[in-house]
Amino acid sequence: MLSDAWAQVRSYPSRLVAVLVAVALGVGFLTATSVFTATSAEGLRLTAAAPLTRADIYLEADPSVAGEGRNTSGVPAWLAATARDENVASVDPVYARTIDVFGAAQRGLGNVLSLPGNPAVRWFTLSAGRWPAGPRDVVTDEQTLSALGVSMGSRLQVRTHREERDGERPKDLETVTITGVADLGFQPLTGVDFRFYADQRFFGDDVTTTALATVRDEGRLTGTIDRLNTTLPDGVEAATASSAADAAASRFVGGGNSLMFIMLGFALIAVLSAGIVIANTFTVLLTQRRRQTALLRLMGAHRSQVRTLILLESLIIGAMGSVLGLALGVGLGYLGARWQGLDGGGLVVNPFMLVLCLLAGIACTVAAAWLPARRATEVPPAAAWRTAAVSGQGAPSSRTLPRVALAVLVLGLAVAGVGAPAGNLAMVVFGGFLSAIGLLLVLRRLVTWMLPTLERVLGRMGVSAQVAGANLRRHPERTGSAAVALVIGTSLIVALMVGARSGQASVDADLKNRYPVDVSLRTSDTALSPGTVAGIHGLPDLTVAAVLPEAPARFPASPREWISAVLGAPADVLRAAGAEQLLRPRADASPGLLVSPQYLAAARLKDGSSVTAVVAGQRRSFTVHPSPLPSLAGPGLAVLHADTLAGLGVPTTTRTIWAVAGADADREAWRSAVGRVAALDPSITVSGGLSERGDIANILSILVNLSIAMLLVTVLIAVVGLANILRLSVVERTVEIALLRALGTRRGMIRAMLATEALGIGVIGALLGLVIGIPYGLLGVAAVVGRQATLVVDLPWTGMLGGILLISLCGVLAGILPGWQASRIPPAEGLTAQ
Amino acid sequence: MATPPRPDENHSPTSVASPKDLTTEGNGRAPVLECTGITKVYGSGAVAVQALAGVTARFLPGEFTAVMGPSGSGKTTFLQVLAGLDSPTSGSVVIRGRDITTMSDRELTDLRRDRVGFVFQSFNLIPTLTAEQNILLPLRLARREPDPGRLDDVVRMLGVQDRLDHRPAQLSGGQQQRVAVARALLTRPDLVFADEPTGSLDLSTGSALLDQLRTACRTLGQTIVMVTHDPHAATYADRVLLLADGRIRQELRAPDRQSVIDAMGDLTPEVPRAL
Repeated sequence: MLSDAWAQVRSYPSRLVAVLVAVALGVGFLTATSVFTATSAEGLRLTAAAPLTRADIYLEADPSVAGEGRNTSGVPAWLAATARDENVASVDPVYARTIDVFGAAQRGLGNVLSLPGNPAVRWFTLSAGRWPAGPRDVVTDEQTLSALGVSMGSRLQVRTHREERDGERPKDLETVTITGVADLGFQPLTGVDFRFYADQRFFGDDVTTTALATVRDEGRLTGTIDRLNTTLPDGVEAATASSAADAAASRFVGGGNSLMFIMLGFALIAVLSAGIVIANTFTVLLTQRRRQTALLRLMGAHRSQVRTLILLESLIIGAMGSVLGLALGVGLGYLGARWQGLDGGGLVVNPFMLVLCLLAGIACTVAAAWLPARRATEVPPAAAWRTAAVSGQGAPSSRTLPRVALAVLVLGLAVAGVGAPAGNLAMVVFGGFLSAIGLLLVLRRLVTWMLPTLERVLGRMGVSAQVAGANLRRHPERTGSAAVALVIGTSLIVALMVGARSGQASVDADLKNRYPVDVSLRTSDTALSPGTVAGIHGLPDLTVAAVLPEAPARFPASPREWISAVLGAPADVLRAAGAEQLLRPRADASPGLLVSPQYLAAARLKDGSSVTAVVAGQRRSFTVHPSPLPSLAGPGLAVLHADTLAGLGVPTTTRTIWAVAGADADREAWRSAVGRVAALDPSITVSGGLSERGDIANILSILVNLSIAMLLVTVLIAVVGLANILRLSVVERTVEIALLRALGTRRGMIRAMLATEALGIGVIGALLGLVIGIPYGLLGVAAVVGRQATLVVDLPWTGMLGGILLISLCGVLAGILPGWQASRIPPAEGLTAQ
Repeated sequence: MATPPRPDENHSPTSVASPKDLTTEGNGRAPVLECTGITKVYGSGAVAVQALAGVTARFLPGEFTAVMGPSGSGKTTFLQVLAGLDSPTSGSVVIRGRDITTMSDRELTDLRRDRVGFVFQSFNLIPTLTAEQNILLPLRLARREPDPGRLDDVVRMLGVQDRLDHRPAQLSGGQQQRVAVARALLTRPDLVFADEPTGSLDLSTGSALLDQLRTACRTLGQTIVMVTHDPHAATYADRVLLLADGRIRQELRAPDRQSVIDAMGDLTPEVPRAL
């Protein structure tokens, strides 16, 4: 039996190419996910654990005891005690600081890690320069150098980072010298843009909570750790550095799981559409081999033998495709990890997962061939006669399935519809999933319904289009399956695009509410530099920008909140920011003043209360209103109308500039432009809605782009399937096409006919994908946004239109090869055959 | 018993067996295949088509029977009903004493595999298998080891021993048909059904093939039922059953070319149809 199945596969390999490609792509995707995950996990482990690799003991002290008992040279008691142990060779405290870095091209967040004093414990070498020799020397890596636009020997301005609004004055700027370039061999994952390594003296009297130690005799490591744990003060714990490395690594790897699940999800979708393509290919192949199947039955093959033969055939091709996909996936997975800079641990392959991927590919192929195989066993032996009518129809389609599917679809939509306004994510996910299953089951029927319309449309477009339309309708179930595979990919891509765009719009709208001003720059100097002001006024799509005059003020003290200065905002800024309270002053009341809700609460005031303050020496009364505006520029501020401040006639300074973006402004362009302006002046603090938005937007867009790239694999599989179905139909229609040629149809028209058929399926797939994808995308956003913010519907029309055109074009491409084949059929075939 | 041929119909009295002969000939030997009053109606109501209108016939061991008749006379339906590929609307078909009209699909499949061989006009070889693999297919389906001597005998008798490694596409029409005959004979079937076996062959190739079929019949003891509309092919048979409008109209024994042509010419369409 196996040899017969192999003979089938070997004889018509080209007819099974689509199956091979579909399986290979699906399995390749699965394998790539597995290899990428394993390889990058190992890379992450190495990266996360790198500082611990050269040490023997890892010590961690509770912050409450970490600074206790400093001796004359400032060493805390727990470190001194560790150093006194007879087996401990060296102890190095580990310091870390987050800093603002001001480079030549960029400004950003960096961190500085202390280097162990013992060179043997340092976990990297230098590719150039020397180790830090003084408290203001640092080394950094190549990437940091190029991102900052500086080189070895450069001096950099840095400032110890502080959280905004903590009430402290900014730390002083310090100048550091880059003395060397670290050769890390991997890309560290620190969550900051720039990385530096400095001598312990850089950290002054910072309190450390961790330390690394080495031992003289490694054989007594366990005993030493036990001893340290008994002798060291309570709150200090010693452990082997290797176990600490494992713990650090697993903390990092844990973060990578969500990406793996997303990839796995898309890989399974790719496998699912591969299954649809395979099932469709086998259906057509077996229809063509109907007489041969009948002959087998005639020769005495039992139904089970026919089925076994077909399933063996699918097993062979599935195994071949899976092995191919495995090779493809291992390569791609490794390259992916390398591209992400996560291949530090080399290629890591989990053999168990590989076997699983292989089995998944084979199982998918055999399962997809199951139904066509079962239908093939129902071919009557008498069909072996050439005169027997060859019916292209499969089993009569069931009436119950679509009804059940429709019920599932409606139920799913109902559940999701109830869940979405309530912000119940679980309900929406479950309902969406349920309805997607129902939709998947009725999708083919849906395509079939569209075919008569398509035929009518094509009928008006000339002879070849007319024949093409009729051909699509002749085998509606085939056309349906080919389109369904396409719809799956397309609708998911559309859903993602819609979800991303509307999600971003919703987040933006929400940020706009919470941060009425997009950008606020505030200097710690006495006045903004003209360059900064000019830079902000030069932002594209600017609604309004204004420098705010400022006067010192003394307000009634309250326990935690205070106000030390008032800002005067011009009317157009107040209008753009929606601060209506100051624009419509009541004639009988004192001038309005915006304060943070926190101050309002701390000072036990109410909206509309009156408060007396001393502004630049003048005692005045104000009517207070709560507003998010004052907190935007920094702590300790209140906002009043610029005219009010001017009316006081007090001297003012200009330390703050505000800008409000137009509705259509490109927020990414704004972000980078503001970054450039701010890099010029380290005294500036940037705040406002724009800086809050960045990270979310970045992560979202990376995820969406990655997902779309993954879903393109699904579309690719569908297109391969489409091309194959058309190719097989050309084989089937040889006589008919030859007859058309004999009757005077030119080759070009035959090619046009096939292209039209392909385009028809492509357009149906794309349109259905659009119709299905948009609501699912919105549903997804509604579920995530929930009650926290209002859903803003923003459809990426350009992107979607481009996608639809691209997929339709893919359809046409799928028709090229079959069209070429069809046009090569000699006209005589139509007259001699049968 | 089914409707016997009517004496008043156009036929030559000298060459037609009596109804009695049809059922008793064979000198007491048990027939391999016997059909009794089979009718076959396709469709129902206004579109009903009667393909067989009560056919009774017996086929003795080692007998070579040709079934002739004009197009649409029900020849192929007759063959398919006899082979158990199509079930009759009424009547019974008995092979080796067992009524096949009541058999399950499984039993019928085994019967075809072990007791019946088929030869077609279009050869019907599996294009992906070699000649030898095609010949051995029924045995392999039965998971039986081929008897090497038997395989050798059959392929030698049919002259395809040098072509066993070839695929059907590499064989001539005559060679393909001889491979198909070898496939039909290898399992030592009781019955071989042949539907226009020479229809796709040239005259001399066809004659050679018929000779081989007749030899097989004589030496190997196979019962052959062959549908044809070629009078020359029919002369190789022991007898000819003439079928028209779904019933047997004549039986010719030891037919020669002229008697077959005459009998065919005598068939008239104006036959009262009785169910």
